[in-house]
Amino acid sequence: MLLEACMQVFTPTCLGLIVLGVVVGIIFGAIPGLSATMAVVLFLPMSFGMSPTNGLSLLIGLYLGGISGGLISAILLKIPGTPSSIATVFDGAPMAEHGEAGKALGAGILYSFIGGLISIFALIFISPYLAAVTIKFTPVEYFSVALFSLTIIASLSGTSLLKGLLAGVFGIAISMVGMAPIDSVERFTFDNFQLMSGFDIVVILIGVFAVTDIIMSGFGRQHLDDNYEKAKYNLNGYGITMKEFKEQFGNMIRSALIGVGIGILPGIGGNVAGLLSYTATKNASKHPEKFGTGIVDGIIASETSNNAVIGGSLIPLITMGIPGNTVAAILLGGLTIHGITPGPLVFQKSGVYVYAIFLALLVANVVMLVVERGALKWFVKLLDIPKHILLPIVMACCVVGAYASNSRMFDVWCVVLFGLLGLLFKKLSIPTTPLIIGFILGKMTEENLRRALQASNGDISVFFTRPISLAFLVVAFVFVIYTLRKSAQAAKLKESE
Amino acid sequence: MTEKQKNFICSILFFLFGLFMYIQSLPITPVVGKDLGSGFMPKLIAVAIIILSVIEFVLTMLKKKDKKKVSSNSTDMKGGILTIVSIASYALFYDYLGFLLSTTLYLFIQMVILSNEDNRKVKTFAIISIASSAVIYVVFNNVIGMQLPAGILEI
Repeated sequence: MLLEACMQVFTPTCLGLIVLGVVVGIIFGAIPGLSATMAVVLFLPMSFGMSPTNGLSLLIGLYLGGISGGLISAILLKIPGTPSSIATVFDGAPMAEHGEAGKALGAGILYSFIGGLISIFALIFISPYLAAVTIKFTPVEYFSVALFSLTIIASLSGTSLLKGLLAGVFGIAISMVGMAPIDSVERFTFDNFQLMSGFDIVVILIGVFAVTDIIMSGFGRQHLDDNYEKAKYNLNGYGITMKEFKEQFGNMIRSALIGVGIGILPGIGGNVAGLLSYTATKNASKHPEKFGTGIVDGIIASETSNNAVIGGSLIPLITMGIPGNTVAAILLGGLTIHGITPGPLVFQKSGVYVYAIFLALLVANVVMLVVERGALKWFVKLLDIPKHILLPIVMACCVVGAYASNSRMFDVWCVVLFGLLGLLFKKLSIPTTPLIIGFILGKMTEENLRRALQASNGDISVFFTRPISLAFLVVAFVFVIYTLRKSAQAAKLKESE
Repeated sequence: MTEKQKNFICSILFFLFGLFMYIQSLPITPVVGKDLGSGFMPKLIAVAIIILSVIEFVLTMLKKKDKKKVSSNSTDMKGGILTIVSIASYALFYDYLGFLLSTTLYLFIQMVILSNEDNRKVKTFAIISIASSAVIYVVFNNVIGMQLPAGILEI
């Protein structure tokens, strides 16, 4: 079966489609407002007309390229090109300011490859074992996982814990607009049918991360081009020395494992994986205060883990038919159209295609490593375009992206409104990242809490008696205490100064 | 604005939002038996927002006077407001004027707003505006096959 898969993947057409997918994916990933998800959505109808192997290979190339392209704009434009690269901005932007854009890019690409590779091996070798655990998950476990993830809000809040928490709960509040889970009661729609399905995450991300920045550039137009002086970059190979590679080995493995783990859990995507690994690396580091000032550790954590999500998100997809994130959900559609039903029996029934997916992933990963590094010169050229010309074009792409997600004007207006909201947040020094995390996890938390309590007749002890759930809650609790202590220490330090 | 003023505004805005959200979620009652109902989480979150904003308000009150003022000299109010107005008008007229016309106009105006006397090359801006909206249009309409609004240019 493996041989047959090889014969299907290693054809000029299929390899050509993988390269096309990766290149288009990188471009979509790099342009803010166009995401990996969108690239896969746009090409999905095109893949229906191809053979299953060709179609799936194209989609996989797009997925991998899309996730890997985000780091380019995260570093060069300070705007995450795709939600997965949010955490890359934290250290990528300061590194570019210090003239280390080349190193940041090189390390980002190399560790994207490594993260992808580790996760593909995880997918191939350990998927049956991991599937055996997650298949037993009930809403009780899902709630605890969501609650655990929400505690990240606290540690990501920067200097002001309270403002971060406020932004986080505000994110949860906006996620409640539209039809409620379980009973489909309309909430906060104010009789506007456009609000029935709630806000699209793409719309919020484009608004808060891109439009806000463009408006801010209007306020700072006098200094627009001095901030964006072309960062000189000097890059040999991938910018990482053997010594650094050895130093970062623990970081790499930890981030890859977090990425694979997050990928497996349904509903949580690369953005959360990147943020979680960033936080974990920061907390484990001997010099956590350097994070955010431009050190390569942050880039490695974020980029290793967001690519590690790729393989992880396919584990529950292939073995159980449960997509690990939005892109995996679209891939599920691609599989079903070609008559492949994911599930425990998929290896017997459609084994060839499963092996073809594995091979396409490995090939796409190598193509990404070569193409993104090889064409880096052209990507860095983005910096040559003056900001007063580039930013308006970015804005036009944002509007196209917002319109494209649902083909409705309502989303375009929402992008502008969220841009203004982001501006208000910036002016009041409120962090915006917790808003996004709150939004992503809000729905999941509520739905699973309600489902779990329905099943237990309102008995909350279920969350503490089931071992996996208890473990996540304990970790969440420890995390909160740890963050509170750290922030108290930081406040003391500030006062004594 | 000092850091203290910012915190006051922040806590008052969130307090009002939390209050509004709580009032709005009061009429939501459980429909399905044995369920918390769709009103439970909104109320919980609203209360959390109110509590956090009150803590923020009190802590800001207790804080000693801020020594350093956040300088506002560097911000260019005119540039910011013009940018907001042009983005808002772009979004408002996007559908009516169609992608090509609205984007070309927006790109040109925004480039003029963001540039300064030294680098304001009106001719270059016009060419880039027309070319980039045409490229985006062709890529989406003809290559990807996703329709962008044609607006009044549609015959």
